[in-house]
Amino acid sequence: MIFPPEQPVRPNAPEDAWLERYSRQLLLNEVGGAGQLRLGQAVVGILGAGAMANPLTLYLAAAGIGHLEVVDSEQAAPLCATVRTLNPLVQLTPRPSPLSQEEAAAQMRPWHLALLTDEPILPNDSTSRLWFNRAALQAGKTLLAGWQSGKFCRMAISRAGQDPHAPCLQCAETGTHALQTCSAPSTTLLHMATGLIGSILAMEAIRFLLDNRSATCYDGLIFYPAEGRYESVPVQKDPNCPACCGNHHG
Amino acid sequence: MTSRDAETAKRGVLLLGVGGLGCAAALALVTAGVRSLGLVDDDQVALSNLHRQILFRMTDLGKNKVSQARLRLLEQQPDCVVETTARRLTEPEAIGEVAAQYAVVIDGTDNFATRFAANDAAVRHRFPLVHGAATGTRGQLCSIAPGGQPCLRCLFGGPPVRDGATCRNEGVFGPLVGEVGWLMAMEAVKWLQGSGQQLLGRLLTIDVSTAKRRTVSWSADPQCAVCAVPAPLQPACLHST
Repeated sequence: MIFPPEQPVRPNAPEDAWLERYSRQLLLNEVGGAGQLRLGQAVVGILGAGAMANPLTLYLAAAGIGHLEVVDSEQAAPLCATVRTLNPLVQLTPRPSPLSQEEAAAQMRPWHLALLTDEPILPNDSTSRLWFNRAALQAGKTLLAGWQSGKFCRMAISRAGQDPHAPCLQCAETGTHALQTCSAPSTTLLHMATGLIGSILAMEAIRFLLDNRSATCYDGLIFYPAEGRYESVPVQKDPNCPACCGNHHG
Repeated sequence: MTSRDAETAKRGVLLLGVGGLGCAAALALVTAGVRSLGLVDDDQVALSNLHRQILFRMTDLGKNKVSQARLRLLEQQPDCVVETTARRLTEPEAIGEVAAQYAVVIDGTDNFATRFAANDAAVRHRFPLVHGAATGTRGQLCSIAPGGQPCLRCLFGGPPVRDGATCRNEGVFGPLVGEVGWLMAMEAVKWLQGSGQQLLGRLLTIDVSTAKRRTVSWSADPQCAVCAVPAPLQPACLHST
């Protein structure tokens, strides 16, 4: 429905367009004017450009994250072109998939946060998550990741790049066993769950950038698509973790 | 509609409201391979919609939501059948009439009156309904089985006297709307496929300020004004009339 504007419309004033575009978000205590400006100054990297990255990039651009870099040699450019038509206030840059861990770490250095989606952007998909985990540690960056794991989807964060006492993605992978039993979802439901995780990654990224972190950011999250059920999984640092407790700092 | 289109649509999903929830659910359904959608909304695209209604672009401003959403969905999946109704359906009878052509209905409208009208239509006209809402930092969703038992009125009674929080007066996080919309689309697919466990008598609640995601169970109210089965008439009653 269209409601009457409370103030006379001045269509050429950019501040008015900014206020109008983000009005439903500016109203939130968690955001406000200061929070919105903070989001506008953020640089966020998205690794992958597939089914999970699609809603993730759309929601982050819609929320006014200042600069989004999408890493994927083939799919990043068309995704960025689509998302630009949603919000011209946001800068979108496609980047090629890195060929080495050093290259990945170099790509991450300007970012405030790295987001890893569940796309096969490396030749050996099974190790790509741990590979990017090491790159984020090397770059000293926080990495938030979503992925599909058998009958469910998972989300976890590595803060070890910025806080040596915090767990990394490898701690999250090896340290969580107490999973509930669940039934196998249809392939359609499992595919749809990747888009769902994309939305949740966008939400957690915004909360991270606004500094209102809480359980999901620090704990892992599991979603069971067949049941429509979530489980929060505490993640502890593994003192023997080969990724974050080795001598990666050189 | 040709008879073949009507047959395809019968297996499809009707979306009441093409706002934040409707946009997310429609996108999720089309990328999941659902090839028949109905879109109902009388609104036009405004700049303040774009922070959460991810089907719309700058070039859509001022145009009808249903027509622009249809264009965007066909860009994604050219073999889709997308029927549009640029009207606001507020009465259970009107909702039931359109819903009869679809297998399942997703209610992504933004006010209590329409949500309860959709609930009453699902009970009386016996179609599966997916209910969902998101405002501020909180969202919720559940499924209502054809005929209810339980239905939304067993849980909430009826709409509040004054309409509660809306995105317009309280604001909302865009990706929270996305999460609820995606979950609603997954509920609809469970109805279409007959797979998985629907959220029947289970309300999934999400609060992104605390990151708590919970399920609240409720059962059918034997006195429910809409879905309760009337008790058989007792002989005494018959005598007294």
